[in-house]
Amino acid sequence: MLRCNYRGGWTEAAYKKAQKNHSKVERSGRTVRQGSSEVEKQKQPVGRQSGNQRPLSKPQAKKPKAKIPTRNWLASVYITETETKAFHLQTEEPIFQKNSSAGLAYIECRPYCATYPSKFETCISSANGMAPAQAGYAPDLSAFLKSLKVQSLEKSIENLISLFKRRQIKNSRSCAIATAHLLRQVVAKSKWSDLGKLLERIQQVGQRLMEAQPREMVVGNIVRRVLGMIREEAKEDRNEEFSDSGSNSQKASPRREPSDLSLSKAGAVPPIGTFSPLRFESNIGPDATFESSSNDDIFGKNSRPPLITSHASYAVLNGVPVQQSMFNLLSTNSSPSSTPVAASPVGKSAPSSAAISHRISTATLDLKAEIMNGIEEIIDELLQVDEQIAAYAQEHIHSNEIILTHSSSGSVQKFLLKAAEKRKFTVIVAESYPNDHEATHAAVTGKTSQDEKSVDEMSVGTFMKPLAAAGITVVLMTDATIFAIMSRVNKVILATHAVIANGGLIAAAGARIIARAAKVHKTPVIVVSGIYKLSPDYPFEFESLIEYGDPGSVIGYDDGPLVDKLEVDNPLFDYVPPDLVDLYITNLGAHAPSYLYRIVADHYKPEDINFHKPELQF
Amino acid sequence: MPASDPPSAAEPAESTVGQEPSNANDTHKDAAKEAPKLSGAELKKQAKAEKAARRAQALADKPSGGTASPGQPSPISKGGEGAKGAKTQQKRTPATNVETRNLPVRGASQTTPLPQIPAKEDKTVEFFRHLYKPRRTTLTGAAKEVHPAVQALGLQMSSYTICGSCARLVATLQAFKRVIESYTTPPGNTLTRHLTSHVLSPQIEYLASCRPLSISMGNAIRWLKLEISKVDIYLPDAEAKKGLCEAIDVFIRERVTFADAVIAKSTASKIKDGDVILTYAKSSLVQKAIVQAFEEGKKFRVIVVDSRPLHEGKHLARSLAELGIEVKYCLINGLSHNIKDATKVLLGAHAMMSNGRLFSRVGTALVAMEANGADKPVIVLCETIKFTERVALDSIVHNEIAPADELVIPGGNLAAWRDVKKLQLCNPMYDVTPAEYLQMIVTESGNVPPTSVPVLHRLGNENQ
Repeated sequence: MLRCNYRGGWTEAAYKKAQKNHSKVERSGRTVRQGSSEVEKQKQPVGRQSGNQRPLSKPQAKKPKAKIPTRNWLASVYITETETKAFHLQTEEPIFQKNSSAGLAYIECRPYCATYPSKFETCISSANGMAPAQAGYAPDLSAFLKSLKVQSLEKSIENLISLFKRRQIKNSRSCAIATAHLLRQVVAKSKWSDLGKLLERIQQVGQRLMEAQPREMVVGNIVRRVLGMIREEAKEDRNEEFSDSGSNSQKASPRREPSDLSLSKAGAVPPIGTFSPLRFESNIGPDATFESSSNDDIFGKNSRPPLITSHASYAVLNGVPVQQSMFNLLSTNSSPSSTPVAASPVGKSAPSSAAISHRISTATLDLKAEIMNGIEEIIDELLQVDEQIAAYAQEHIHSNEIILTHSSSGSVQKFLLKAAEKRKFTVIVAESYPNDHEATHAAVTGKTSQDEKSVDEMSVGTFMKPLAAAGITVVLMTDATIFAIMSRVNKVILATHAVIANGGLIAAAGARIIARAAKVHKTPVIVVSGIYKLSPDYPFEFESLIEYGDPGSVIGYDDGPLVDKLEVDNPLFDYVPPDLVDLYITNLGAHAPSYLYRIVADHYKPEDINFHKPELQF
Repeated sequence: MPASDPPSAAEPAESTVGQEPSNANDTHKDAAKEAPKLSGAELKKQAKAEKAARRAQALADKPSGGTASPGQPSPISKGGEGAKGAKTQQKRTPATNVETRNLPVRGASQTTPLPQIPAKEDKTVEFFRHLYKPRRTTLTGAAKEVHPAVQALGLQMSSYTICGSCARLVATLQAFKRVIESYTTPPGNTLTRHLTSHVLSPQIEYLASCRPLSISMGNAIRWLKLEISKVDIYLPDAEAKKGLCEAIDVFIRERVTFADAVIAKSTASKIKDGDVILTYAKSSLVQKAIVQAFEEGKKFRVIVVDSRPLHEGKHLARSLAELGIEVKYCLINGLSHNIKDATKVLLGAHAMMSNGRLFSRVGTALVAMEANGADKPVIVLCETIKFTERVALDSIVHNEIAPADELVIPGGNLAAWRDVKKLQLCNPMYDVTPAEYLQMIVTESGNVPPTSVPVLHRLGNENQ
């Protein structure tokens, strides 16, 4: 079979290599993010030879199967088991895909989606039992957002998971918007009586989304943002309550209820008096080494103990004299426990049950509205982020510069367009063949790609005009010419896929050589990125963040005999280390790469950083 | 810039053509011996140019199928050419102008239709503008003196059928051998005086119009001219021709065939079991070295990095894979991922500059840079025929710009790029790799560091 031999053919050697990776995952336990928890659960790679003769698993005919064209080189098998371990053909490392209810597991099949969108549509609709979507084009962000209104929550979640898995939503901004909308639905539709339940529910959904596309860090970021926002709301809410019942609170017993929530686990153990820097460090978890190393300035200033719930820190922050017992009381309250009372102190001398229930209902209603508002704010931020970033453009670009950019990105394009309002300059676009070149060419010639369009439809309808139409000279060149022309380039502006907390970034493949060539020529490298792309994750092994794409775009299938003998790889992303970047421009302003960790600390609550990896929380 | 071009072209072509000799003059100024002669020839040239312009006018009136690339509004004169073109022109005696005028005439006929499309935009990239040259892809308009073998070769070169510095060099010399074989000295002339200027020059000019001559070709042509000039004027034609053909054969054998064998052997000895060899695009030398090492029974892997638009690496990967070598293929976007696995980087060369820099297929500098960043040794395989006394600091001063349309993917979004205002495509062929990225240059006269390039070049020239 042509397609199995494609990447090293899944021969013995390749399998051994994969096994090696597999054990590496187990050893490090957390380098590969996709569900390392499942590694322990399932040692047997089920779908190892899926590309070869044996299908991933017997299609069990419970769900209607889609007819799969044989040309597709990636086996795509629908199975009904709840948990399946699939093998990631392209990265040669196992990924574990967990699919709880509908049972739709498959190996990544982007090329397939690209070729047969309409068939895929039917697959999704039949597998998920959703109403058949508009036939004829692949489901994308706008289709998903439309379906969100009519579908049940669980179906929407499943739908989004499958969209993520199939990379039908793959632009990081689209992913973020989809995630935020879905979480809003979760808050709106699911029944929750207290914040603990809600947080738990969101964590659960977030975890599933992240597992669907482990390398799309934006999904995790949005989930964390929402979690943090809910905590914030709870804190404020409770503070009001606290001032109401302040007199009673002195009596509160330091009772804590064992919580099912992973985040409260840590908080539950020590009384606040025993809080120590050591403890603090272990709480943050090894993933956030940068933070623990600098915990003084992150948390020292507002003296917010990270694992004590935000309520406590709020009290401290506001200079409320915190007594030991009161502190405990507060943290008990805010720790989302099974206590139904979100607001009233637990140990309070029993008020009438009617009063409590009344209070609960009003508080929940208020909270719900506030949380929805909060998510709306996040969505608004996502929609406006490019404009906000573009506002800084004129500070950074002056006349007659030659600016090199890579691939196609809405953010960079808007940035340059904004600068073009005042100044004339030249833009050199490296096309990033073979993955984004179509989009780049489209952007350069003024045909917006499908993905961009869907996002733009949602925003205020700003149709992006090509750079050339704004009076800028645009020069399209291949990636290989970068070094040759770098001596004439004044600035390099890169778009990014995700930014990690050490100041490095994940960007379209080829970005690293651009950044390095710029470094060699002492040309400043500017990275344009929304804050939402800034992830608190800080993996040691950056290779695990790199996604590999369809080798068919490197060597086409028409080269049959060649394809059989070669190993071909096609990374989609590059890791660019922070020392190659000079400046980040975000919607909050311009920052040095070394400052990013601080912004991370501002945007994510430490207890949320590892929410998807319970084993990393203590 | 773009605005100023059409008016000048709108004038009768005389002015543009008229400027041309003086343009050529500028580039020739360094040639001191030419200086007095030129001033005398100036008037003559002027007259010829006017005549040519008149002829051009007549040609333009006819509906001529413009073979020119549409993006070249400015008349690309021979004078704008780099030193190589100038070199070949230098040897020309004024008497040959009649033939060589043909080319500017062609150029003029291309430019005359321009005023009819006034809004035609200059699609050349500003900082590469001095490098643009139209590339001949058909035989129409070729000088009648061009030998059929050379005609065929020129087309093969412009279509990249014969690609690569050495391949072009060998093919050129073979073709010139046939030119010499079919040459008979006209009565009243001697071979030494007549062959170079009247017969070889048009051939060279034609080849250069198909694709700019490679540096090694320039070296070889200079050598050939020297050989011709050394022929005894009293020697009978047949013997002289035989002698020249033999000399060409010896030259090819010594400077290319044997040199390649020596370099391949020497490089193969550097490949060890377990090595991972990374290479970029396709170099026949690298291929020979890898095949040699493989035939010696060494076990190693090869990573071929490639790039658009030529995808030369694919041919290399194919031929290596067919031999049974374990080959991995990726495009330049996968470079930084694959460089970690490599143990050695082997690069081919288009030329070695005298300041130790490597002039090679565009993208080579990136590979060397990444290899340097990952602390992998970079070894350049290069025959001494590719050494040049020229220097380069960046890739912009001297380069070759291939037609931009090569970048267009059929059916892609770029198909109508010429209609998009202010959009330019640029497709340079070469880049210059800094000497500090290169650890070793393997030549037939030994393995040297990049700093020794001028020394070797001088030694090679002294031997001649």
